[in-house]
Amino acid sequence: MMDSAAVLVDARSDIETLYRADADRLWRAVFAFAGDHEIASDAVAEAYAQLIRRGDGVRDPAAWVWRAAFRISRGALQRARRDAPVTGPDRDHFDAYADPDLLAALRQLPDGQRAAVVLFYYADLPIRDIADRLGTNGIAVRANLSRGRRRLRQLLGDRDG
Amino acid sequence: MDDLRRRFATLDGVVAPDLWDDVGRRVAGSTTGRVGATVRSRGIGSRPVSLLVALALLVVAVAIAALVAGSQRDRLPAVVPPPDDASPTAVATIPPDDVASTGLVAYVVGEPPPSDADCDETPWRCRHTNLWIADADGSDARPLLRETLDDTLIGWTPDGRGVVYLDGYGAFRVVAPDGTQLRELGTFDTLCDPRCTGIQSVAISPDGTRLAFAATRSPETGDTSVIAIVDLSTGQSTELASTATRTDGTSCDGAADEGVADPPVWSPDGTRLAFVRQMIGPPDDRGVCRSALFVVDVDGSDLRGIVPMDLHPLAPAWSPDGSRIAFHAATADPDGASPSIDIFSVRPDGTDLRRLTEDGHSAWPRWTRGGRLVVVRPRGDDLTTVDPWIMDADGANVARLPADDLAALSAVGCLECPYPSGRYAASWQPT
Repeated sequence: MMDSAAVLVDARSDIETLYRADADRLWRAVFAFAGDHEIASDAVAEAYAQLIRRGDGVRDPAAWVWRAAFRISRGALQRARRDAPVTGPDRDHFDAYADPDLLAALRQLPDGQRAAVVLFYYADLPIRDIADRLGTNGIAVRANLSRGRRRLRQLLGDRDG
Repeated sequence: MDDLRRRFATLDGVVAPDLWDDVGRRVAGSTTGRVGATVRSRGIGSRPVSLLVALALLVVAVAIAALVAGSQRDRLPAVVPPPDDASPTAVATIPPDDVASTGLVAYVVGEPPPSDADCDETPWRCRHTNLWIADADGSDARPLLRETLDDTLIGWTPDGRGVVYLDGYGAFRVVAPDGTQLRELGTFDTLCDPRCTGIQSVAISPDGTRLAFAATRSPETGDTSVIAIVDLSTGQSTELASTATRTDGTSCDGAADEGVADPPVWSPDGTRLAFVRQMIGPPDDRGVCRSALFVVDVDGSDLRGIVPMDLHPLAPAWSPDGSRIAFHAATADPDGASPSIDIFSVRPDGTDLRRLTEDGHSAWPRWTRGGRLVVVRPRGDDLTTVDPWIMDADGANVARLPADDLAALSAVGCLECPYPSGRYAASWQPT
């Protein structure tokens, strides 16, 4: 028990450093993916809590916590859809800050395409890291990214030409 | 900066909440997630009732998981243990009955991206893999393709005239050993219907007339994982209805989570497919999602799981004569601690399950022409570097092969073996 507690304290200190450096960006990525600030907050907080509970058993905490947060948010989205249809993006929260049309368009993509697009365009991750963080492979990511990008450009008026 | 990237950059203006105190409360176990409250407010019930229901479900789930795990552990003693001489040796001894591989070898090499690569608009150009080819003795190694485009090796065509690969644009192509493009087998869009969100790889049938693959779809559009076969002469695609699952494979919280299929593997006679389905719920008693190894006829009939799910089977490979399927599996240590990875084999009908290794680090079995097995094992304590090892089909006579030595791998009759560096699979030309 003592060993476990010591590991937990050490891990928590390191993880707080990671949290201060990376959590805002993760939260915004999950928010863009889920379109709901409560889901984003819950997913990010729970992912970091799980990371602390695992002590030093996680080889790459930064990657692990992104993977966990997206997995948790995806599960929350599915439960939300099952229990009550989500009518639209969380406009009250983002209207003042972000691009509402972009977030509304994102909501029209399937989960896999939306996650790939957010991690590529916002988190700026390479394909193999996106695959790692979504628990899939590079081929699936490329397919989702290609289709998601094409669909987004249609929805947003194809300003890239 | 393109328009999409500029629009995404506006997200940086959104103020993210400080959740660190919330994280601390969760670690201390004094709070529940806000999402739960959000969902409940949109749907059913009050929080105390929901918590009680959740607690009751948790107790039932744990009890069921323990019962299931216990009953499956009871079946494990039927596994035939490794032979007494399965302990590894340091030097390879190649028995005279092995059939050496000749001809050519196709493999993947990591390379720097082209100097003009635009990693924003063409991200696939920034993954540094290309196909190479060499003689089986390791000589005359040269690039197979002129462009470096994140190519993925699939394997040789059964007639040995071409190498099947996935190019950086999502097309499965066949290229001759001299670099001449022979044909395009299909793309994501032509092989998979519009509901498809991805296919992982393809496997070409032993007679070269069909492709088999696992496709995934979004949960909104129906089946989320299915095995399909495409007739290459007609383009006609047939989904094996018996292999469809209807969960997205992102979690395995409940018994309804049926998992997601890995790419299938053809039996040598082309009549059956073996494939693994991962992320099956509920989790085992270590909290790990289960996986299962299935065999199904190519018409979709006679789907059967052939090993206990708590073996967590992965990476199946048919023996050259079709009589056995080798795979690696993550089994629990005797004290129930960290999982260990070992090699097993089983008959396609699920009988005669044998454990071939018990070192805890053997993975990714591939059969040689002579019916032995090449596996990978980490080099000492460095789990990121692996070496090829060879063993008899029953797990005896285990020996380490020289690392990154194409001639040595050819000499033991490799058909598909780890090379170079154990990171990718090299493929030997059928002869």
